[in-house]
Amino acid sequence: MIRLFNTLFRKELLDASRDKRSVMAGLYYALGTPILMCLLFSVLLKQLSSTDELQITIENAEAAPALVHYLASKEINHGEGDKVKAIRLQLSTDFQQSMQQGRPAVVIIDADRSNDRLQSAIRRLERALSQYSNEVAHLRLLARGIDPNLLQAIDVQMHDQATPDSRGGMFLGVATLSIILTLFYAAMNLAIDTSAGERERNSLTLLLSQPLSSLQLVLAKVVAISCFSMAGLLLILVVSKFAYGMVPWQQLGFSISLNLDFMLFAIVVGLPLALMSASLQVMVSFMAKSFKEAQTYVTLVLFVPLVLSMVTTYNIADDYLQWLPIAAQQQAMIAFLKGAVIPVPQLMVSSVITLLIFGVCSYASSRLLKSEKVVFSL
Amino acid sequence: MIRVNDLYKTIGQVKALNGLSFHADNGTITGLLGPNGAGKTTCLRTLLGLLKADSGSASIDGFDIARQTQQARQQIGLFPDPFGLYERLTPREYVQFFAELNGMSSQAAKLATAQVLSLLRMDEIADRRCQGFSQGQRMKTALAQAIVHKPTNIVLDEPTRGLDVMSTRVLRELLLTLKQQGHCVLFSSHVMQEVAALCDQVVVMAKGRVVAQGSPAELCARTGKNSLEDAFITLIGTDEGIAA
Amino acid sequence: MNKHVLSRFYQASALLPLLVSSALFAAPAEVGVVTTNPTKVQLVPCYAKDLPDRLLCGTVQQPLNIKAVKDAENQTISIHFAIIPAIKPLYPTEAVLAFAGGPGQSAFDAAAVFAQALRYARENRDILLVDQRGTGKSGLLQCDGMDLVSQFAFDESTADIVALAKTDTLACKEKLQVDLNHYTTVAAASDFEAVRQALGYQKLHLYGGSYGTRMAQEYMRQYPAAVVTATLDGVVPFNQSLGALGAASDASVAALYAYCEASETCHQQFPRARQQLQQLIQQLDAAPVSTRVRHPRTFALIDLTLTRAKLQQAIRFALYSNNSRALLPYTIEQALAGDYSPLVGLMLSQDIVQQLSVGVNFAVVCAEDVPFWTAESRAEFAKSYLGRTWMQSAEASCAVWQTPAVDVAYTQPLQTATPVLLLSGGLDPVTPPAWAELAMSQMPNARHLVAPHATHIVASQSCAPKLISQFINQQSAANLDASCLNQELRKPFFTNANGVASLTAEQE
Repeated sequence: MIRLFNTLFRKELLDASRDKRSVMAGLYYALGTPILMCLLFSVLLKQLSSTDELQITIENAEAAPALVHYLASKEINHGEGDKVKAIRLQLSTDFQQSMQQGRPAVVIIDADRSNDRLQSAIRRLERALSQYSNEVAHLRLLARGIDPNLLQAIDVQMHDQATPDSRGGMFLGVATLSIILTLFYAAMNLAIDTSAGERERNSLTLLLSQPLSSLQLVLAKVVAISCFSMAGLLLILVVSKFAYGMVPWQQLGFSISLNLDFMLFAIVVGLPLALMSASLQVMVSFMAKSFKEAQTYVTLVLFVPLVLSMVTTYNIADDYLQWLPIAAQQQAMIAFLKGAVIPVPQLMVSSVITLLIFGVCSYASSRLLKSEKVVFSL
Repeated sequence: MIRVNDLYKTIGQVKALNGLSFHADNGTITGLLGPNGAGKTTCLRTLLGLLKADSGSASIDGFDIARQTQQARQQIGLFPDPFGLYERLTPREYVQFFAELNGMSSQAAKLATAQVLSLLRMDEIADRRCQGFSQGQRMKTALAQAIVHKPTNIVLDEPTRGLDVMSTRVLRELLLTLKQQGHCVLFSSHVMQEVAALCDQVVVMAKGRVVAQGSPAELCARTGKNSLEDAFITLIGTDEGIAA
Repeated sequence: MNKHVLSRFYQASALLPLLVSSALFAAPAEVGVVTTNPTKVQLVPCYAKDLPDRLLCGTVQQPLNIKAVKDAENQTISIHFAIIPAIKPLYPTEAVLAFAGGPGQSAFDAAAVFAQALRYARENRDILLVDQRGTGKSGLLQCDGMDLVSQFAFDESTADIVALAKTDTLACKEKLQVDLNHYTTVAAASDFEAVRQALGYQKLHLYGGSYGTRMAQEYMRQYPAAVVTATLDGVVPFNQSLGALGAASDASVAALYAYCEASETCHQQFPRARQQLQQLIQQLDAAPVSTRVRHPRTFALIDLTLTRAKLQQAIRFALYSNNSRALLPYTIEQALAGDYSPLVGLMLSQDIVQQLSVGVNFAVVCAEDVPFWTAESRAEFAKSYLGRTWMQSAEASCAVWQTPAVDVAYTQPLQTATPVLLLSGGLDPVTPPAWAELAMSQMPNARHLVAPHATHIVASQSCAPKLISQFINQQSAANLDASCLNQELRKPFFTNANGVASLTAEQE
């Protein structure tokens, strides 16, 4: 039994490892995703933090030189040319007069608020203006012998439970999402090739004519594919570690660091998922009548993990979803990265469910291989 | 020794096997001759347990294929049509893989593989991947796979299809050798000359059943024709689906 | 009299003026207890005022008398510390140890100020805040002050300040019952070292503000091997008495009026600004003004006895911030005209004094400063009003405390090859740039950067946080591009109670 399995497993590994196209497709994902994410995050962070100089159009600047000067100290300047954001700050002509008389001096921010790329810049400008307004108001009260703190009727003190690692929120979700999906994408091509492809190349009939059980055959295939999934996982973990290490998280007040402990944790948590992913995709591929059809089906089936993972990432999951495979594992990974308490019961239950699905799919595949319809695509 | 006893099999609306019975003995080359659609492939698939007969039985060296599937399969070497090679493996890896699947230890499998590869004069191509092999090289690889574990029975499905003259000769010589070694050789074909030249026994099939069985000479005698081809046409009542 | 007035005088430097009074001590949250690896110290999540970040707090027990031979008879003091965790701990074995000013301020209370000033340094390293013994949560030595109403009514001109300082200090000494000898800069250094060892940090980067620079220098002197870099912001050298603060304050006033004269709007509005100040001082010197003003918070009418002492203190504290500096000429003019409301506003900024540790303040002044005065330095201090009054009450109080002087070697400038970055504000009313020059005479790897328009504590008002982080990362100040420190930080002068929008010609 074991010897037969070994023979089958070795052959699957050998055959799959020489399938450069399928292997590379999986590895490209593992290699490319973190790098892509790294670039994406960097751009996003830049937009969010925008500590660089902000150039806008200031109209009628001579009306309020002190304000313009204040904005300059916050690195908000009037500019000309390409780098200028589409924000116009219009200072009213009677700015100085209003100031002197103690009337609110009007400034107009003219910008498109629905423009995502402007939002953080607009907020930054608004913040700077309100700080200036506050500063002047405080001094006005002082000049009248009144404690400016009177303006602050309540003092809201925020006690943030977050740790620097736990702030990543959405970023962590996306990072773990990409890690978990590797287990599926790295397996996809191989799973189709070793099942639908094997049948299309006519070697499946020959194999099934040999003295072995179809379950052995299926298990050997599934385990071999899982090995590649795990290799993909390992790769994406290592690449992620370096790629995310280059994103300037600290500017946002949090960090995402994939240390060795996390890698080990991800591998342990990922193993059942790899088995499930391989068995599911093999089953679906066998159910399809042709290679092409299998590709379509598998792509459709991969929506399920994607949706489960998305739901976790964007935190729109109902409570019961947290017990489901993928969602629970991802949740646990996020918790691990955040340094929060890992939801052990959920992780356990979902891991068991994951392994059950692996069992069911493997068994179903072996039943399929006993079906004349499936084997000969009748 | 292969025995087929009163097999019935319906696929869809078609009665593919309709009371098929014959036997192929050791030390004999038996040809399964029939027009396209006669049920040859269905017969072989049933014989290997890939299809389940609706009724009737088939046994290999006394092992019933339905009940003792694995033992029965172990007695067979299959030369399939198409060959079902793994393009990314070398003939050596490929042949050794099947040797091990048939229960040989990896050491024994390695040895047997080397032997069969040199027997078929494949040493030059033994460590090249099958990708890009000629039809003859593919045939040899498939043949090596079928006989590497030295099964008593060798089943060949349309073995000469698409082969050039040289390859056909290699195949023919090998089958004769196997016969002399006492193997039971069963092959299906719709090529008349092939069957006439090689077979000791011919099983003529049409519409899922045996129309006649005997040596080529017997069949000619029985129909009163000079050539097997004429005899065959007489036997099945039409020349449709026969290659000369 | 009152602690309050006294402690006000003793404020060598009420540091970090951004820090407003009434520190809100974080109640240790009932979250899980975290223990870090190399330590036996328990770290508990905690929060500091105005800083939403979750910090980790803990304590170490230290002998009260560091020179005691027998441990058994020695009292212990509990030293409280907090860690502001690095955002991305690239250097887990290093920390930035921040020293608060005062003397007597709690580093933990100033957590928000440090978190802001060290925000770039924090990206990769923890920030460590230790409450110096006698301050904050490390056994605060505090005596009651005077409330605002009595303070306003108090007439310093008729009271015998020296006698009052004496009785007042006696009461405080009675209440605290401590030997201030255990609370000097020299005695406190070992507490910081104990915290460092307990937490397992191998190397420290120091950041000190105001008096904290002196504490940092003393730590370097005692534990040179633990320090990789030191940033001293608003430097207090060992070889400089705090009595010189009067001269510093006067220089800062002079700079303010020079700026007003150079400013078109200010000069137009207050052509006699300098004379007005002198006039008001002379008037109050001659006779305090008794009047009624609105309480700045309750709006009740209360008595104000406006004395020269009150005016000088108000000005002194107004000088700390560029915002309140902009109010000064207007305030003086209004006061001369009989409207004291703006002056009442400026008197509010003295509130920062409230949370200072009186004990530590006196320990530093009486053991490390007063004993080393010479006839020459006394004459020097006496040149300014602030120096004179400070000197008088310091001597009176120290006579009560009877704290022995520290070793004379203490007053020698620190000798160190460690990279040191010194920061000074050109308008600083307490620690002028010249003090930094005094401090660095024996520091071959030091660089002194001056932000010409900054006041006290440069890191709170300029691009210095970035420079500090670069300095820590490069472990050298040589390549810092300090040009951003030249940024204009001064504010346009208020020409009426609503302010103005225009700047000086120079700024435009």
